[in-house]
Amino acid sequence: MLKLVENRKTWVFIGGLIFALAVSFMGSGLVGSAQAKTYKQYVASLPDGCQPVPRECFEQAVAGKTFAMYDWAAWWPEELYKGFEKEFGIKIVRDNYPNLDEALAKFRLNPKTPYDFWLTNPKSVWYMKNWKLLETVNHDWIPNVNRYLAGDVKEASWDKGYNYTVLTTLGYDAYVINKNFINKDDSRIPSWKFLFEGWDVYKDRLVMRNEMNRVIGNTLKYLGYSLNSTNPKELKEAEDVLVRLKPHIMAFNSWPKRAVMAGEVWIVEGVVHDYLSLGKLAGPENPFVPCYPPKGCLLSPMLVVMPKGGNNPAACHLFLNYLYRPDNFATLINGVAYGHGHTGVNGLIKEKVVKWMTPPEAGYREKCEVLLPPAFTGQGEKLRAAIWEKLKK
Amino acid sequence: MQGEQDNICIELRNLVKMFPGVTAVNHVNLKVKDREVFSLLGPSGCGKTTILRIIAGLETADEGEVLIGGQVVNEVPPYRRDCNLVFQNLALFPHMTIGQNIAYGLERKRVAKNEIKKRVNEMLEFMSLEAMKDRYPVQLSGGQQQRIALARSLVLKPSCCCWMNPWRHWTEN
Amino acid sequence: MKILNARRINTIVSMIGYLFVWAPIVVLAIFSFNASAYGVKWESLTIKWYVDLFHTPEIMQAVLRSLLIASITTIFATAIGTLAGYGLYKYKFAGRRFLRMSVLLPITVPYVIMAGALLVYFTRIVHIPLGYPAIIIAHISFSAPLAVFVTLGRMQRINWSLEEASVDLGANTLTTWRKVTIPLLLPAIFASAVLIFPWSFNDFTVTYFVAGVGTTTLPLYLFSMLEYSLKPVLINAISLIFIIMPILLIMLIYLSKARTKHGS
Ligand SMILES: Nc1ncnc2c1ncn2[C@@H]1O[C@H](COP(=O)(O)OP(=O)(O)OP(=O)(O)O)[C@@H](O)[C@H]1O
Ligand SMILES: [Mg+2]
Repeated sequence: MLKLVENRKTWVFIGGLIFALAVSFMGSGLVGSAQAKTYKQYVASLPDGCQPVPRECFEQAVAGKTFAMYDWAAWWPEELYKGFEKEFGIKIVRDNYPNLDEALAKFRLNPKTPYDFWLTNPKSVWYMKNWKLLETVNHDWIPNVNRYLAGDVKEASWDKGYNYTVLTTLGYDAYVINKNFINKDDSRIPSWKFLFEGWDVYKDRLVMRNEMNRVIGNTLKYLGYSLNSTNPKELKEAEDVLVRLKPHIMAFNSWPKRAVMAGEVWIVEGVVHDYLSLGKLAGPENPFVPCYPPKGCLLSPMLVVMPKGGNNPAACHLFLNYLYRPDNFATLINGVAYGHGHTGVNGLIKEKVVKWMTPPEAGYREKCEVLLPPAFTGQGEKLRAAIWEKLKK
Repeated sequence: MQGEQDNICIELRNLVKMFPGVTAVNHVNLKVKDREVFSLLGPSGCGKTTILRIIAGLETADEGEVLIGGQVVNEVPPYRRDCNLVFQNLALFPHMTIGQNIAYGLERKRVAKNEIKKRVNEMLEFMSLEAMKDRYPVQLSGGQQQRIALARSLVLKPSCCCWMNPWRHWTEN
Repeated sequence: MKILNARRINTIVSMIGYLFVWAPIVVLAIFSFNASAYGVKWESLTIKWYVDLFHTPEIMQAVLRSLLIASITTIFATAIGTLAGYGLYKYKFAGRRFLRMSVLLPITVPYVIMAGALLVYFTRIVHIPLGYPAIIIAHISFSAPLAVFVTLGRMQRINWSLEEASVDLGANTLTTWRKVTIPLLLPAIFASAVLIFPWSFNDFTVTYFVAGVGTTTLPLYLFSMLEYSLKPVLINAISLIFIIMPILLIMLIYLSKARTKHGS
C-alpha cells in the first residue's frame, strides 16, 4: 500500500487518468459543423408543406452555437436531437431532471438557470408565469407550429393563444388492462366504472398512480365532475369512492413496469401510451389494452417553454419549427406513441401506434381536462391533501 | 569554575519549565563534559524527561539558557541541534525497516548514498544486529529495539546523546 | 466439541451474512445478461445490454462526468479533511472543541436543505458558476468532514513521539510530514478516499441543485431515465460495472501487497 502511494508512477497514473477524462470532455464539446446548412440551403432543402424560420431567427440561433435543453432522459428518439445538430451545426447540450417538481424548484431557487428549452407540464407553466420567468413565444418564428397546431390546442386552457408554450405530446391518463387476466369484453370496460367497482373481476390486482392530483382528478371524472373541482361536497364523494376502493388497491406506483410485465398487476391507472412500448417487450402479442373511459380522463400535455435565463431563444424557435415539420413530428410520435395536437402527420404514423395513441372516439379530447391551478393551489389543494393522507395511511 | 581546557558539551543555566499546575524544572544548572557519561536520577515525575526534551529542543524553556558546545541554542530548532534523543518509548518508525530507521538521520543530512550504506552497516555490526537490517521494528525483541534506537542516534555522531530510561529493557540483555 | 460447535455456528452465521450482502449483487449480475428487458423470467443469455450501454453516448458521458467529479472531489476532500483533522487534533486553540463537534454538521443537515442553500449561496452571494466548479466545491464541503472524522479517529491511535523523533533526527517539519506523518495517517487517508469517492459518485440531491448546463451526472441521468426508458436492464449493466471495478481495484492492491511482502 505504502509502496503504491510512494511510487511516483501511481500518482502520474492517477493524474494522467483525470487529465484524460478532462480532455475527453473538451473534445466532446466540439461538434463537427461541416455539414451545417446555410440559410439558403436550409430554405431550399425543406420538404413540401414546410416553412422556414425567418433569416433573423436562423442567424441568431446559429450564432449562439449551443442550444441548452432540459428534458427527460431516454424518452424522445435520439435521432431528433442528432438531426437538429447535424442540420444546423448547433451543439445541443442536454440535461435531464428526475421529475418536474424538482426542476421547478431549481428555477425557483435560481431564476437565471440558463436553459433555452424546458419540457414541462401546465402546473410548472402556471408557476413560472407567475414568477415572470418565461419568455414569450415569437409566433413569427415558428411558421410550422402556426400551420399544424390544432385549433383547440391553440386555445387550450393552460395557455390561451400559445403565448408561452408549444405543445409536444398529449398523454391520456386513463387505465390499461392485461387481457391475459381480464376479459376485455366485460361490459363495464372501458368506463371508469370498471376500475372503481370491478374488483370482483380484477381480484385486487390494481395499481394506482402515486400522484394525489391525478388519482383524485380521475375519481372526480368518474363521478362526472370537473377534475379541478374545489367543491367540498364533490370532493367528499370522491373521498368515499377512494376509501371504498382502497382495500382493492395493490399499490400506489406511477410506473410499475416490472410488476405489470410479470403479470402481478392486471389493471393499472396511468398514461396509457407507455404500455404500448412495454407491451412490445412482452412478446409477439401485446397483452395490454388501453381503456379510454367515455366520461373523459386527465390529460397530461408536455409543453415546451423558454425560461428567461436561456441564452439562445432563437435556437428554441428553430428547434420547435424543426420539430413541427411533419416528418420530424412523425418520428417523435412513432417513437413515444403519445397523443398530440399536430394536424399534419396522420398518414405518417405507424398503424399500431395510431391505435394506441388515439382514443377510439372522435372529439374525445374535448371531454378530457388538464390539471389547473384550482386543483393544485389553495382550498383545492388542501382538500385533496387531506383525502390523500387518509388514503395513504 | 571549570578549567578552560575542559570541553563543556552541554550546559544548562538556571533552567525553568512550568506546566499548568506544576513546575517540572526548577532553576537547574548543570554541565556535562565531552565524553562524560552523565546520569540524571530522581523520583518519578521530578522532571528528568523534561530536561532532556528541552536540551533536544522539543520543549522550550520558560527561563534560563541551554548551551550545546558552548553555543546558546534556545532559538535553534530541534532539527538543527547537534544532540539526539533515545526516546523512552524508543519511537522507532514502524513503517520503515531497521536499515531505513538507522539511515533516516543520515539521509536528512544529505550524506552520500554509499556513505550512508557503509555507516549503517558499521552501526548494525557494532550492535551485532546485521541480520535484522530488512526487518520491521515489530519483528524485533524489546532489547533489540532499544539497541536500534540507540544506533539510530549514534550513527549521526552527535556531540551529545540523551538516553531516557536506559534500563527499561535491561533485563532482556 | 463445544468449541467446534461454536465455530460451526460462527461460520454459518457469517455465511448467512455474506449471502445477504452478495445475493442481490449476484442476481443483478446474472440478470444483466438476460435477454428479457424486465428480468422477470430468464429468456436467454445476451451481452446486448452491455453493447447498448456503450452505444448510448448519453450514458457514457454521464459516467465520465461522474468519474471526473468524484476523482477531483476525492483528492481535494481527502487532502483538506486530513489536514483539518490533523490541525484539530494537534493544535490547541480557542473553540477547538466546538469546531471538532461541528465538523459533522454538513453531513447531518438534510441534503435537500443544504443543496438549496448551496445553490442560493453560489448564485447570489459568491457567484461561483454552476456546473463543475460548483458541484466539486459542494461535494468537497460535504465530504471533507468525513475525512476529518476518519483522521481524528486514527490520530488517537498514533504514537506522536515518532514525529518528535523525526525532528530530533534532523528532519524539518515538511520532511517529517512527508516521511513520517503521512505514512502514519495513510490508513486514514485511504479509508477517507474509499468513503468519499462513492459518496461523490452517487450523490444526487446536491449535484442536482448546483449542476449547470451540460453537467448531468450518472445518478441524475439514471433517475430521469427511470421515468420513460424501457431499458431498465441498462441500469443492471452499469451497476455491475461499478461493482466489479472496485473489486478489481481491491484485488490489485491486495496482490501488489502480497508481492511486496514476498519480495522482502
Ligand atoms: N506536556 C506536559 N504537560 C503538563 N505537564 C507535564 C507535561 N510533561 C510533563 N509534565 C509534568 O512535569 C513533571 C515532570 O515530568 P517528567 O516527564 O520530566 O518526569 P520524569 O522525571 O521523567 O519522570 P519518570 O521518571 O516517571 O519518567 C511531571 O509532574 C509531569 O506530570
Ligand atoms: Mg521520564
